[in-house]
Amino acid sequence: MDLLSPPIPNRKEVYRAFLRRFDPAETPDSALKADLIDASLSSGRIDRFAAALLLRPGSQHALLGGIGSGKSTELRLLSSALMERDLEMLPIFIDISISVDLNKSKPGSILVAAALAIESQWPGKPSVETVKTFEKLKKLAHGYSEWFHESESHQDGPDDMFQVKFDGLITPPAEPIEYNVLEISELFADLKTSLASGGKELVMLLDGMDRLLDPNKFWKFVYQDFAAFRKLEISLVTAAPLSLLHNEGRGILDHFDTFQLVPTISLDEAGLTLLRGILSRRQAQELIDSELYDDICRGSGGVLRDLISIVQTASQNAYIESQDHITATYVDAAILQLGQAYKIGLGNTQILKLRKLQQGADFEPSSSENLDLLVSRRILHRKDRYTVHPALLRALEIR
Amino acid sequence: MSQPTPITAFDLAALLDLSPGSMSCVILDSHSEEFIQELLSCLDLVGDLKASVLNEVTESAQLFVIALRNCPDGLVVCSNLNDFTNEEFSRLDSNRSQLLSRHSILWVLSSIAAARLIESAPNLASFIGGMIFQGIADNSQLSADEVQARLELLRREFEKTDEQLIVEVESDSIPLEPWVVEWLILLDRSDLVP
Repeated sequence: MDLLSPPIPNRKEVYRAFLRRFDPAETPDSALKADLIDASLSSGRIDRFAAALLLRPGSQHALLGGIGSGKSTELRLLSSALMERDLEMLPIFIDISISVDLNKSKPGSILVAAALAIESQWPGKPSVETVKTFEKLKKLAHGYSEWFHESESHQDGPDDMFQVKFDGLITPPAEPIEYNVLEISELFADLKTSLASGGKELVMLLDGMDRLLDPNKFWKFVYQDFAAFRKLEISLVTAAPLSLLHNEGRGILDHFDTFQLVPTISLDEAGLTLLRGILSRRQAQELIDSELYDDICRGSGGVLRDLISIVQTASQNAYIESQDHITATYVDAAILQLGQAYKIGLGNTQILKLRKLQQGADFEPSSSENLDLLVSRRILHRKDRYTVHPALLRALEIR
Repeated sequence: MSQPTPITAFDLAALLDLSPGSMSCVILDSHSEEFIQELLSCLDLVGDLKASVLNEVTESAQLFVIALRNCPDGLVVCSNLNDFTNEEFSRLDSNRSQLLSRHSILWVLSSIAAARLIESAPNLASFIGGMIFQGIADNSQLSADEVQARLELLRREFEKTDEQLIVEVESDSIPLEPWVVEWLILLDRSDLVP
């Protein structure tokens, strides 16, 4: 090999390392560990939540936002902030959707899943009583069987025994389940008392609840589980879907002490500066000329996950075509590709509605069809108006 | 109006190999069996990403999640969800955190099923983003003239002759990037790809 020639760059390794910083499926935990998150984006909301939790123990708060707006990351940041500020709180973060099938589980399952999440984060070694409490909770969560004698007069042989199976509340649910929210609450109260004796006040941070896009499904848990938390005077902050801001969802929000909205980032100069900052923090400049940042930011519509997604798509396509850098062609194609994905499944009526909105017609998410356009991010809510996602505009060829 | 981006099995394999363990994308293809077989062959050529295939029809999201959990880490090609209803996709959506924890997922769907996924599983669609493609036939179906034209383009682009490329590959002095593998295949020298 000619020693004077430059070493052959391994393009795959360069792009792989780059893509690890632009992975839409990355968990908030790993993004925080890799220092990819700019906490200043959410510091105002975190400060307000921390103050409310400190001043009003047992209060309940909702963090609302569209899909991909960064709610999970903010809940993680809130958890860290509560720990670091030494507010004598024990924040317990749990992604409910990992342990509970929200579509099939019954009221009580959030409560029991939250109680079990405390076990892995218990400060120090739990007492014998606490261990027993967790065992009882696990039985309620996952179900159990017990043997009973057919009658009290025949207690000697196993032949006259019968087995009764008590189904659990969570795990992949198949059958309707019996539950007892009160029983779980009493066990939860024991855990709370044990923690309080150590000087720590329990705060539950519930991620994943925003998967319940239908307000009626969300209400099922607010009505029972959240009410139990309130009775126990355990504070909580939950992720919640954008649909709670509209129609029947508003009534559900009334059950929270406060709520805060993670907004779509504006595309004015202040918003663009924020979005450019996110690209710079993830070192997009390694493969993308910073002159292209504004195209990416505008194409994302101010949705954080779409910002990441556009860079991901552009870099993958540039790699496939053996390019060392991501040029404007690839950024442009990635925005169009995102728009094409948004376009899939749209009917003529919806497309017409989007065209009219772009021409200045009014839009209100009062019907379920309109709300779907908002929840699926085809329409974005800005401060004082609704707009069609810019990538979708590209795919629909609307100017 | 614009259509989903076309992609060959080879390019898709290179793309999946680039982001192992963290990607979710959709392929719209009416000849999915052939496409999947070609994709699996190409995955062997471009890297070491391990792939499993779920192709037995699954009736419920619950059974699908269980089947997915039983797949080894790596890529899972799912071509068994064309009959999923909106409700089942909606159930998958609320389990999104479980779906993407250990696997890259390639959803091979008809355009109608893809529309149901986008409509009923917005959380999942959000992770898929723009990664929705139309599968197309690979270079192996190029005519002799088309092969020569593509080879000429590669020679010009990378300023090498066929012989130089082969020497570099044989001496391990060039990484086996997708364009190198494609070049070797066009030269009918896929024996040089480990």
